Amino acid sequence: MKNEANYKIVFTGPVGAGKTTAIGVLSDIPPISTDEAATDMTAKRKKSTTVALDYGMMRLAGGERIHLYGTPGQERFDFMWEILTEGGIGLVLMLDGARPSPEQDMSFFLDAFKDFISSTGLAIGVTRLDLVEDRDRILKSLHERLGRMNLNPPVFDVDARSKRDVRMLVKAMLYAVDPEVNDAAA
Amino acid sequence: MSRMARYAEPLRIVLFGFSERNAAMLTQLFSGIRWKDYVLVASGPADLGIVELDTPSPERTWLDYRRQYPQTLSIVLSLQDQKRENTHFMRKPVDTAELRSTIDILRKRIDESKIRLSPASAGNARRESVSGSVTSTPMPASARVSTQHAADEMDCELEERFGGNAPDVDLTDPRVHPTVVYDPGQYFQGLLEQAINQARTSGIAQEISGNLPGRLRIVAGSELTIEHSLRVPFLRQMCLVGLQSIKTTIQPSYDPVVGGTHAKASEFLWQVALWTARGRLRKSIPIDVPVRLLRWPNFTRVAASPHAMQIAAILVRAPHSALELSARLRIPQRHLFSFLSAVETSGILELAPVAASGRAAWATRSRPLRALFNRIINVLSADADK
Repeated sequence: MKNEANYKIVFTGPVGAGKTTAIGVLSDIPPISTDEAATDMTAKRKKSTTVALDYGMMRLAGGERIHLYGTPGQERFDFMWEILTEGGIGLVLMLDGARPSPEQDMSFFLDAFKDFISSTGLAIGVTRLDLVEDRDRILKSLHERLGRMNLNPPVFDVDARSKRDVRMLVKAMLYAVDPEVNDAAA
Repeated sequence: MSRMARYAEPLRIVLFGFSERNAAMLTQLFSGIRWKDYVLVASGPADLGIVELDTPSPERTWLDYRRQYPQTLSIVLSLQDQKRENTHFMRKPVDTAELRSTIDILRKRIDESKIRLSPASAGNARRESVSGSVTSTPMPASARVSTQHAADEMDCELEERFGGNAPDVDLTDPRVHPTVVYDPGQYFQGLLEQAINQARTSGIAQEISGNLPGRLRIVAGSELTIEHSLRVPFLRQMCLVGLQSIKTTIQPSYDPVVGGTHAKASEFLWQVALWTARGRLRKSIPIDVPVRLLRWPNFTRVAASPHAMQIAAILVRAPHSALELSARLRIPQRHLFSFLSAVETSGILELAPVAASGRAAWATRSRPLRALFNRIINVLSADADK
């Protein structure tokens, strides 16, 4: 039986996909972020980037807590990913739809977390699709690649700044794990 | 003050016996902003009926009406005196102000009778079985569950907007099946689907024109989009009435809609499908054949009708028939049918006739984290509009 204190939802994805923002809109406390000034290729995408982790927390009825962890987006920090997933109940993969190949990004992260998602839940949020011309083509291409990987998780077009969008994504991840979750407003 | 007294839920009114022309006139009238507390329904459950008895055979019209709506409070319109039980008579030509005040008075009576019952039992007490008798089937336990006020409010609103109040029926009786299905071709939905297909295949924008109080065109491009200047209440109304009441045509269109609303065609069509289905199953979905969801609908961009996520999660895992899902899920059938109709309309549902064994692992496995997930979902569902 897992210790309640360790239940967590992990947010991952490439640099600039909106992990830090998504955690911020879900968290009931001011999110803690270990952003530093970007000095490498990342600097082309954003001024600062997460080098260790993001942390937020959701409070449930009765004082229970769900910890929200965001992984650093850069691959050179991937040694942390396994540690962060311990006690995780699901993975939210945030992809930047305006990057050249979100499909490749997706494959990379799904491969990196394959053991974790085989035993928990997965939902994919694709951000910045408002900046691309053919949103449907990108989503279709992601679905096709997922099909080849024998996966069929929820894939939503999200605005990481929107509480509604991020909540919807996390809800879908939970339903994907257990469709029998009962919710009157589902 | 109760929700009923504030008219949070539109009253469903069915028109019966009307000529196309008269029905179209009333449809226009009811689409006005002042009539937003009322919604016309083409068939199915209704709170109030307006019956035109100046037909070639008034007695037959009346009997047909009462066969379908045995208990429904009604307004009878005619040039001649008509005395019918449980009705209010109005002589033609009818003044719209008088019609409105009559409907308002009758609404009060209807709302009072609802308030006397609990909200849950009121919905059931009004339900009519296919044979026409009044039933009092208990509401499924899941429909009574309400952990938060916000979620409850949202559920009520979604029920009204997308599911209507159609009763659960015995799906094991094949004679009942025709009563829960609808043919989109008989509604605006069919016309819209046709226009979208024409725009897609021709690469030319198509406009649905006719007796509409605004414009609606489908713009071809890398992604099909809808431009329209119609108000949402009118669109909803238009989805509920039969196509014969809205004389419209599809034509190539070259003038953009200035200052209108723009939406992706797929998302607009999803919404129209939910409004049209109103708790019914699209005709092309066999009730007893397993269906599979090819992928999750994009729930951040299309409306998630009640229980949509749960049904989606099941159907992406394994095929199930509407019959099986209805038996296992313990949710109102209307929510299941509305969702299936929307995903079928979106082209992400496919028939998958396979043997039942081995398909329902989801229903037998007890998940250790279910209670925790429930609590998380309750938090995520609160203040959902923020």
